[in-house]
Amino acid sequence: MTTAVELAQDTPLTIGGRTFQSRLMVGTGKYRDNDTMVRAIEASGADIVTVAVRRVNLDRTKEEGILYHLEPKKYFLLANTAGCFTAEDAVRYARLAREAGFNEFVKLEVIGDQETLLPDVQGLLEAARTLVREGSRSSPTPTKTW
Amino acid sequence: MTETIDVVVNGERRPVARDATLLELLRSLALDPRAVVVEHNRRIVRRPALGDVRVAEGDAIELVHFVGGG
Repeated sequence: MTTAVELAQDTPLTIGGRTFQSRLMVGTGKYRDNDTMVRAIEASGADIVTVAVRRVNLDRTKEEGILYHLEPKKYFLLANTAGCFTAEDAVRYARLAREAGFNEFVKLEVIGDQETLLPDVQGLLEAARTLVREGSRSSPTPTKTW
Repeated sequence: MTETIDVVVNGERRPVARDATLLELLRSLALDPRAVVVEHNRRIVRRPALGDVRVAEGDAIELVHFVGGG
């Protein structure tokens, strides 16, 4: 059952020429199942939904991609380079996301520390510079987001 | 018997039929071509071309997809 939530109207958010009705950006990780995720995102009223671009794990081919579950006309999907440890890999994965038909936006992450997942700020700036030169609207993530 | 060659998929060496296309490689790995993005020797290969590009010994293939996270 979907819970109808009364949403207060916010002023639109405009970034890089795109306008969003909600300022909330929601992630897609750690949900119990896809159905719960879809209902939670819908109830949140968010326009922007982040998804992670990852290497396919060949030993677990049953690992299901998430795009089947998110209506591309309804949400603005923001690819996240979480899982990249170098500027080079983050740029590479951002390009792969763009190629997959994503927009020119990317939530850029370059991880500096495996344990805390704190960013490699220098690598992040380096990757952002490269992507912006190529026309991406990069949103560097300089501190840990939850 | 089909002759095989070795290619490197996501950093792992794997045997594949000689002259296999990228599309055939995806099928052999039980991957849906609509759900993955393919990089062949650091060059992104768009979906309509996957059936045209053949792999050669030692080629590096990177396969990525979109999963929950963010």
